[in-house]
Amino acid sequence: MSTPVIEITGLHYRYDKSDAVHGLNLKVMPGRCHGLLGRNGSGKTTTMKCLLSLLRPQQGSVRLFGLDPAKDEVAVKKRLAYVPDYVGFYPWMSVQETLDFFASFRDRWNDRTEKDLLERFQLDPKKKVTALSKGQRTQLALITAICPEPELLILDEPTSGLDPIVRREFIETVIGAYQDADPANRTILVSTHLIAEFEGLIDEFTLIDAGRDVLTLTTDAARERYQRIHARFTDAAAVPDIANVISSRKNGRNLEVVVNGELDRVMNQLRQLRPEELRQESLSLEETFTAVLSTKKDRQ
Amino acid sequence: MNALLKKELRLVLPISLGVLGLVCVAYQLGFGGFKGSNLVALLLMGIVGVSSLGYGKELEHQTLDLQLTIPVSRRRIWATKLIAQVVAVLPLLALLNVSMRSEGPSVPTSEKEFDPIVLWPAFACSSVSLFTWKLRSMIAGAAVGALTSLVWFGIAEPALWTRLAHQIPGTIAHQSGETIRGLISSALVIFLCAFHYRSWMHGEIRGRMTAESGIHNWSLAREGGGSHRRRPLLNLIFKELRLQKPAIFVAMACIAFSLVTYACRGLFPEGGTETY
Repeated sequence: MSTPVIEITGLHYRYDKSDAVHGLNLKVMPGRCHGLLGRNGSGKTTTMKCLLSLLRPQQGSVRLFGLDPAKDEVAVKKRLAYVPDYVGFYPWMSVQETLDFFASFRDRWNDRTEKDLLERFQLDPKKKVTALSKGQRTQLALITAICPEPELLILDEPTSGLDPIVRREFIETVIGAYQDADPANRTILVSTHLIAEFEGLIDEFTLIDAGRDVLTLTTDAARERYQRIHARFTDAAAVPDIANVISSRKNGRNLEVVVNGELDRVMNQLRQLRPEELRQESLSLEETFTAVLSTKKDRQ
Repeated sequence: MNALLKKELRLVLPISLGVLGLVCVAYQLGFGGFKGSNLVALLLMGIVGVSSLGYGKELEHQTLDLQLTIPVSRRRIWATKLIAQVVAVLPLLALLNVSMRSEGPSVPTSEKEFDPIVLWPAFACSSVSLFTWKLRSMIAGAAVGALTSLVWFGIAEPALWTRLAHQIPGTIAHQSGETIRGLISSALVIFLCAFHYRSWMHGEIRGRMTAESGIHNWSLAREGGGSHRRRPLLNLIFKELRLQKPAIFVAMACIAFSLVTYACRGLFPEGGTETY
């Protein structure tokens, strides 16, 4: 059995008096693209910073490639690359000088990928980084992360500031190509709000809320479990109330029910009422995210 | 030269050389002798400012996170920063030493007692903590500063090492009485320097004043519903003071140190009589 690339157990981190992360558990196996999804302030960035030893957790353990990132610092860092949500570079450097600076610390650096990405992102190598827009700085950070071909890519809101065209291209082509080059060994951990755009890329995800992991599933399992049922009846009065589901919404003769793993029960219940129309569909990742967190909120 | 050291020197040297140039220009313009004058304050400001650049600039450019994730150990990053800091501070220290020796009889000579001025770079280098606010950084910075200055003055005065062991407690205690004014004024200089540098770092002086500048989550701003919004100037002052909390601490520590050592002067044999 292979060693998890990322293993977090019982992580606690507190800023002054408020808990940012409270007992988080996370495991990511090699070759997976794992999404870290959550609302603003849920603890995603804090989790990533604890992972990278940028913050020291008060409790819990963090392992990268089976190693302690605080003790085996260099060994861990050699195998990963990180793109933070806000990217800063040294202002006196140009794009090329910045790439050369970061390349000097790496054992491996793919010059062809660098050239290809500079062309694709239309970045002028001679331009000073102070003259770059926020999106362009993100693109430069992505190049510095991808060119060393690390085993683990940690991306915190990587598409923040990118225009829609570049965003799509980045997700489909750049990240997709990065992982496809060595699918068994290249792992991605990405935190994002743009869940719909990353849906095609993410193999599995963890929903974080209030510093805790609420749900961890593969995307296939999520699609099987979280389903939406549409039913239309002959008469509005015939539309039933369905209990023990995530949500149930009536609209005249129509009924829309979102279920969590209770598809057969609800479908049988509705079939007995002989609706005019009955169909089911899987929720998208974004809808699952909304549904799960809404349910959690209702329960509180 | 490796890329990390080159980057660190690029961060700190330009400003260090700029301060050096400024002091030389000021001297040429006739600000008078270096000792006990505005130029000493200027040099001290320069030392303090330069000492804080290594971490301050990283925070300003928000490059710290990215730097800490490249495959270089933190120890090496820290060591490189200290090397660059020492290189940047040495010219200013040299100017301070040379200028004091170029003055009249009141300047310490090889016959004179240990001059506590050598410890000022220790306070200056400990200003690293103004931005990191970590005790370890403060101790490390003070140690580096003390070592730098002792090495420098030790080279200039080889007999200094033997005298130190016997003279430091008494000299500091008795000279503190004479240097309270100097210590307080230097502490205020450190505070003002850090105040202005941090304000600059946070973009206020550059003119990026936003509506948020008066609305910070400081304890003052928490009182009452919207009461803090009706006191913009006061909020601004309190916010700046809050930003300078570490600098204020250092300044208060300097004043406390001088007062305590002056109060304890009776416990030590009479040290140097140097008037500062």
